[in-house]
Amino acid sequence: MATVTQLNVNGSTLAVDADADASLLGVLRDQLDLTGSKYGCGEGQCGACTVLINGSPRRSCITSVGAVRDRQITTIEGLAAGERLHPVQQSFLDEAAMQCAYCTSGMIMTAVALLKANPNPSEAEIRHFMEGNICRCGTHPRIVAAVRNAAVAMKESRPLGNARHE
Amino acid sequence: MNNDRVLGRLDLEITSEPERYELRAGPAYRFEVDRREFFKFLGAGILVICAIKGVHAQESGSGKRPSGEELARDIGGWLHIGENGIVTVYTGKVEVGQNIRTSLTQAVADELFVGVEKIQLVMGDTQLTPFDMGTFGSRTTPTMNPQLRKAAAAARELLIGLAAAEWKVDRQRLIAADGKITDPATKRTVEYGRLSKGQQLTQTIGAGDALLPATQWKVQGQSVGKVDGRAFVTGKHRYPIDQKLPGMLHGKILRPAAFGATLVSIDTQEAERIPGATVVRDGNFVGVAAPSAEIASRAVAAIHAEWKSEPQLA
Repeated sequence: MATVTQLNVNGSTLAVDADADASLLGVLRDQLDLTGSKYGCGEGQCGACTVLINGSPRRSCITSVGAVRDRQITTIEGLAAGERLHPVQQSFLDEAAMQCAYCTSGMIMTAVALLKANPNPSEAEIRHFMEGNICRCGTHPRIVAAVRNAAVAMKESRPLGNARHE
Repeated sequence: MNNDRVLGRLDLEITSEPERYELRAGPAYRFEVDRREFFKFLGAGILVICAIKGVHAQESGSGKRPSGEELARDIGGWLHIGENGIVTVYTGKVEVGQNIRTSLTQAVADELFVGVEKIQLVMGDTQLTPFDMGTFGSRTTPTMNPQLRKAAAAARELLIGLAAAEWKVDRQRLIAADGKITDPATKRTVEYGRLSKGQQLTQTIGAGDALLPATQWKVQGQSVGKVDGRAFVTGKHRYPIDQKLPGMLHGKILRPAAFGATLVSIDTQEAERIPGATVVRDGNFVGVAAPSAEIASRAVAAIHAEWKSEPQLA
């Protein structure tokens, strides 16, 4: 079986040792100790494991490492610029858009992808884009508010040209 | 705990080899921590132990101390103020999204007059925290909150007393605020952490200690940011599933297709050939232990089992 020996994660090339059909989530968590991406359902149904592959949201639990060996993988650990949180992270924190927060990593990754594709989404567009991410605590109204606030914050910061957002 | 207590019972006819718990065997291990040993590790500072019943310690007056086990059962929580001024609060309750790490921090902050950023909670760690029946039934706020407030209030009174003794003044004129004791008359102040002077001072309290009336709360009732919130939005918070311990194994259970199903035959040879996988069987229970979740999943999938089930109620 083909083996994957390196992955590009959060801007770095990292050594791994995995069968090509091993799940990306398992390799991120077990081999690279990037446990911010969560195991929820294991079937691509809940969104807790969402990462960005070349900027697009993907369910890492049903993505094989072989399929992403040449891609740019971004996880929740790669969003902040040092101590400075990504505007979506800051907005989730400011809105307290979480209770247990188990879904939060996946929510934030999906929201980052949404705002990259659509910097000014309507509430309906946010709800539609985020509907594959499930929060069992029921914090959805705050999550929608956090995404809207992040959109405003990113728009305001954009002319300054200081953002390195995926 | 009484192992014979029946919490609920299903009238199932056991048609094959019984599982171990059905034979009412005692627990395979006994969990015990010597609390006094533990307190030694806390080091210098001020330790306040909140006893729920605490009758032996509080009322005998004979100097008789409770045994380790009585102590463990009666304690609701404790807190420790280190020489660095950090307040560490120990409770058996756990944070599972109901945000009690934040609300209990607020409770201690009010009674102890210390900022929330100086308070850390150790929760539900079976080696470090008091025995607790569990986190359920919305009991944390009505029971644990007042217990920790009492511990914090007792700590505050102890600190005021220490400062009064050091300065040889009437304690009534001293004020606790912002992690410090102040004497308004002389403008002298001392930080909490400096009052223990390298000793470990211990106080056990029972019921009946006066708490601040709600009208004097400054932190409770206000919206404060989620404690440790940053760890959640950066993915750094470690949930139990994220923990890695030396020699840790992952378990997976082979689920039967129907409620009450019994094993007719089972072939585990293929699963046992997977390196690292161990198949465990106990009556109708079949599971696998393996060094990774992925290997455990593969091993469970490699088990060939035939189940017998009765018609199910619709």
